[in-house]
Amino acid sequence: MPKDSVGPAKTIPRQTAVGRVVRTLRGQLAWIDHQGRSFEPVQAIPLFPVSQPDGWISLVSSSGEELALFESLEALPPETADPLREELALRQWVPRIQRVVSVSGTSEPCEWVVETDRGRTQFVLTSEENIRRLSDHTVQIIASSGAKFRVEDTKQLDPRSRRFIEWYV
Amino acid sequence: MNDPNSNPHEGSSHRHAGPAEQSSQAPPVNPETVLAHCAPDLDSTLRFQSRQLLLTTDRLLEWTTPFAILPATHSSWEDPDPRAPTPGAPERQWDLKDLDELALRECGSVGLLEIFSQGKRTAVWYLSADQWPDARQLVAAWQAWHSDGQSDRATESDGEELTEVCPSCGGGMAAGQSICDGCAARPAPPPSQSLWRLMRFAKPHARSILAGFLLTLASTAAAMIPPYLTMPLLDEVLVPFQAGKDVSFWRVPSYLAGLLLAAILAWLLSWAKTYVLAKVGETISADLRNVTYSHLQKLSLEFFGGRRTGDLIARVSDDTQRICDFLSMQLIDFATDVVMIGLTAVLLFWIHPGLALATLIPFPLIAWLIQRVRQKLRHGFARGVAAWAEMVNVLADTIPGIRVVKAFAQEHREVERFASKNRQVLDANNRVNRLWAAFVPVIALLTDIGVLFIWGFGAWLVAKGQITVGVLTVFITYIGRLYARLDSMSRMLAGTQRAAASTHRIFEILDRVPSVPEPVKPIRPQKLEGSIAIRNLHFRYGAREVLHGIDLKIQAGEMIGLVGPSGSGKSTLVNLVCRFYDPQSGSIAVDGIDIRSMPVSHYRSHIGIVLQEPFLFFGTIAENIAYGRPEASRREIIEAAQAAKAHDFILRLPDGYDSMVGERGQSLSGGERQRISIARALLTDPRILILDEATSAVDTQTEREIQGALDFLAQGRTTIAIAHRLSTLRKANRIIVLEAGRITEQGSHQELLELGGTYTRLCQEQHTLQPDASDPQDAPT
Repeated sequence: MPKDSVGPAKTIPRQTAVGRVVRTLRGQLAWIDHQGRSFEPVQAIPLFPVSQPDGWISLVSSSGEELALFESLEALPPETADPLREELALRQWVPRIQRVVSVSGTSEPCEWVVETDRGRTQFVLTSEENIRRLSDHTVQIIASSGAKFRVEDTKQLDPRSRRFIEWYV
Repeated sequence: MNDPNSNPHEGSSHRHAGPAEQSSQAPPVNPETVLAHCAPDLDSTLRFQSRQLLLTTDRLLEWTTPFAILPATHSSWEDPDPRAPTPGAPERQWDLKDLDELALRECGSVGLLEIFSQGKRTAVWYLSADQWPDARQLVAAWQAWHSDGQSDRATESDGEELTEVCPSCGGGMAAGQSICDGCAARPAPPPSQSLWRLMRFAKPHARSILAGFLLTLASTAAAMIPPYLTMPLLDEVLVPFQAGKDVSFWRVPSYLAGLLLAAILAWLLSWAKTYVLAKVGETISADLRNVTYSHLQKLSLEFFGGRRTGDLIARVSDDTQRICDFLSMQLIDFATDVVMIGLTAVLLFWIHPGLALATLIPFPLIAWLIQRVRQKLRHGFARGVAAWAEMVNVLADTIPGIRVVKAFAQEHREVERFASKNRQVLDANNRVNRLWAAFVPVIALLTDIGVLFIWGFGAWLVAKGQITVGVLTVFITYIGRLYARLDSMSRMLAGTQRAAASTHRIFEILDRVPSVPEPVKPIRPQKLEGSIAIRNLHFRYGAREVLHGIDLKIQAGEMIGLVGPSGSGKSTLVNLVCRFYDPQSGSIAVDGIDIRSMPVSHYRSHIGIVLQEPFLFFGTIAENIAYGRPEASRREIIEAAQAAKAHDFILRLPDGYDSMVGERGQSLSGGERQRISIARALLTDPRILILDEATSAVDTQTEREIQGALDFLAQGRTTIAIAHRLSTLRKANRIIVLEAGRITEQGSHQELLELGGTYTRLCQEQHTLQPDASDPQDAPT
């Protein structure tokens, strides 16, 4: 209630929040601010997960309040940056498709079998809208389960795989 | 005026004829000058019939035949003899001193210009809306004269009129005009030979076109070789052999090899030709699309208001595609055909002039036929294309409005509507096809008759020993090709006319002059403070006047609340401040500079606008926030979002600032979309902020959240806020009540409440409607 009260007084400088990130005994992240208050668990959320996954990381408390915002992890002391990186690596786990083995049909939903940098897997594509181009040669696929897959560079794919992808984008 | 003897109608027109003549011979001390003119264009039965009215400093004169009036530039205002350009003596005239009133009454689409003397109507003229602007100026000039009372003041007011400065070029102009004649939009050029106008787009590709033409020439020539080789094959080998003579048969393979080589050459050349010319055609139509679209973006909202989306989309996409098809395929065929026919004709004349002449006899007949059918076809295709655009319009209407269609269970009716438009397409095309179906066989018949004719004439010549069998065979072969070409040329007629119709539709857009013109001598202030001065602003949509003379001064940094019933002109007023339209008269100045003197985009970069229905483009949230300043850094985007209270919900989205919104994107609530659009306005850091019912589309809870963001946004900026919910205006320094295009009340909330007028009534109504809504005073806590 006090947070969302009307009025222009609320200002911006959360980027400069002072404190540190620690990993708690339960394996989660915690934020200890400059007054020594501890918030746990906290989530590390990248604000630009696609265009700049390693910058602009927001720390959000379990109640959804933003506690800190880091423009870059480089500037942080390693004891804070390292747990953040580990956490982000989990959040941003996106297998890179290296080869499309087979696609069950030409119309959705269809099952794809792919080889990724994390091994061979399969997923169901429900709609062509779930394949989209992120940049000229980068393509993101969202499976029916919500899992994300990415093709870093369509030019690097073998011609057959590329045909499957380019059918959609 | 009190003289009971003077008959207002009869008397005045004759009594003053004399003095008027005198004044032309001996100019008085204050020469009579023209104040305004107007050409009523309807007679009393409302049929078009032009007349001419001239208001001078002494009289109102009427001619039954119109004549050209010099534009109201300096020279004509100083013209010592106003009647110099007139064709004769005026039909009627009135001394201004006798007139009580001169007024324009707008009755629907007809305007009545009336003069009164001694309480009676002395004369009336009828005008279509076309003439209303002139008539209004005439009335205004009369009113100015009347309030001055004295004709000797006229020279003085002349001086004033000359000091009026055109906001576009900085030159002088007459009073009452909003822009000087030199800068006024010129009428669009007439729709002339549309296809030839494509030349402008062909010029940059002259080299490729030349190469393509040379290739066409070469490939056609190559295709002409084989029949020519059959002539010696027949005459020197086959015929003598049949006649029992001893002929070396070794010549046959060499002729056959020649034929094969010629065929391969023709194939290669025609491949190259098709590729080169098709590429040019694609490029030209791509240029055409770009030019059309960028021109569309330059046109003011007025243009888009009067057009339907589907029609515009059809023009930019379908019509350019038709032109592309024409340029890249049919035009090539046409060029090939022309070259082929020319070359064949030359060759035939070279072989045998007499027979060649006979061959070409049907041509004039066919040319005449084509000429006759052409006009009809073009008309037919234009109708077909228009019907097509109508059909696309239905799609463009109903697909975005699908929720309304379904909610009112009108799917069936929409299907019907589409089917009926589709039927119109079918009908229009059928009509063309009927004509077309008759035309093509007629050509075929004519060519068949032509071939028969050659056979007969040729056989006679062979019998007389004038030509050989080989020559006749060559002729027949060439003629077959020639007529085949002619046939394809006549088919391509349809394509040409279709392309011409499409080209015309494209140029209709390109010829449209933006009604918000760029100034000729722009002023670019580095920084604007944001004070706004609106002076005697009039605005009409077509014939309907929406704003009747608004005068308003807004201090830099002041927040103005604009309230009033719908249709009172609030949105029009802010549209004019944004320069989406230009007013017909009056002016808007920011920091004392007329906004028409600034380059349009430069001026708009100082304006931020938050609309009732926030529009988000297809793209990420970050891109949408940075729409007005694409170069903004991520830090700036985040700061803007935080200030607009959008940050907290954005970080909860799975892709954060990279989430896709807009069409088929992440679905956001109305309040969330509105906060993104507030962040967008905030990022451009505008000096002038327009809030057009920014909180009307959301519930009170969300409104309160948005309100905080809006308050932050409005800080230190000149703000004009339109609102129905008066509680949103609690921070306004001043509240303006607009009713029927006029400012009726203004002052602070408290002052207006004490006044007990419209504002008080509006406040009371809202309190009874929303008993739980907090009072404007105690809302911020």
